[in-house]
Amino acid sequence: MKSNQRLHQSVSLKKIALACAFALGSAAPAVNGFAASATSNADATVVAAIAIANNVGLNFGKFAAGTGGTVVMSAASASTRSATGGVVLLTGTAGTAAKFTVTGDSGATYAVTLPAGTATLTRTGFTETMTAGTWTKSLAGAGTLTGGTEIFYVGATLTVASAQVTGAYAGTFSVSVEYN
Amino acid sequence: MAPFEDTASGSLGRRLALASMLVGLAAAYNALAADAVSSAEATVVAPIAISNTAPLSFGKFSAGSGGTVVLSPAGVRSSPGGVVLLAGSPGNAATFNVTGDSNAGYAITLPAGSAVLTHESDSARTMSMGAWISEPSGTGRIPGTGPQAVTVGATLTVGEAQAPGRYSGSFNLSVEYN
Repeated sequence: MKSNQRLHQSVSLKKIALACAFALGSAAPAVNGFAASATSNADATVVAAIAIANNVGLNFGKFAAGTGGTVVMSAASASTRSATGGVVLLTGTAGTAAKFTVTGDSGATYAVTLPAGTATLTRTGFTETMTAGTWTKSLAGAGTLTGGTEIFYVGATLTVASAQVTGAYAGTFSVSVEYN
Repeated sequence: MAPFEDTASGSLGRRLALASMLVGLAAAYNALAADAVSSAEATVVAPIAISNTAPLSFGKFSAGSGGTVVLSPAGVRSSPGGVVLLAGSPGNAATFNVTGDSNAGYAITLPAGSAVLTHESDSARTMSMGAWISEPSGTGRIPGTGPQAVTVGATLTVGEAQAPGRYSGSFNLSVEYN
């Protein structure tokens, strides 16, 4: 019986020891490894706003209306002009494509939006009109701001009526650009 | 007199009792030591650890009329205001790797407030980012093998005519076993 009693005491001690071991076992790692944190860098790059300037206006040059037709200006630095129908072009005033300069973030690409419809040219000081449409640009697709700038040209087709009243006609159109 | 006559046997009885007691103590001591060591080994847990493997980047954009750039934990940008995003530099979410006990759950703590991004050459020019969001959100669980990736996105506030340039800063992500 004495031996049994000692054994029970041993068991009790063992339980206490066991409890202590658990307490130590769970408490010690909690201090070192229960939580952790890490730092991340963050960045953002603000680029200059994209801007567009018109350097040269679109000019269909001089021509005689004849029986009417169209005058087509190609979109190029050395724009070529052609006529359809009865319009007769005067070679001395060949006209120009519109020239635009775009500036912004170096290397960025951008989209060009040409007028959706036609623009009206009105005889200066009077009411007679012609319309320009079928807009074209010298860029095949999106533009690229190599070095932060790019130049492109815009051409169009002018519709001339038979016996269009002679005189100087003027109007405006808008081209917009936006970053891709 | 009978007990004294049996001295030899009495002496033997005491020796036997003593031997028995010693054996008992020895057994108890051994059992105690062995159990204590075993318990300590069974409760050791791998510490939880976290490392940043990719920084957060809002990419490039033009401030326009100002607004926000929202970056999702999947790394997808959107600009609800007047900010114009440049597709060529789309940015990315931050990525953290969390390691620890297999299948252990843990809580993710995002920054409590906003963090500041400072202009590369003019410290007076700043933008703030906040509205932190992570994937997984709130809690995670370490898979049986390998770390768990936690991605973090945020919302950047951009001023009207925000000065061009690169802005940088940092933020902390904390994890804790739950």
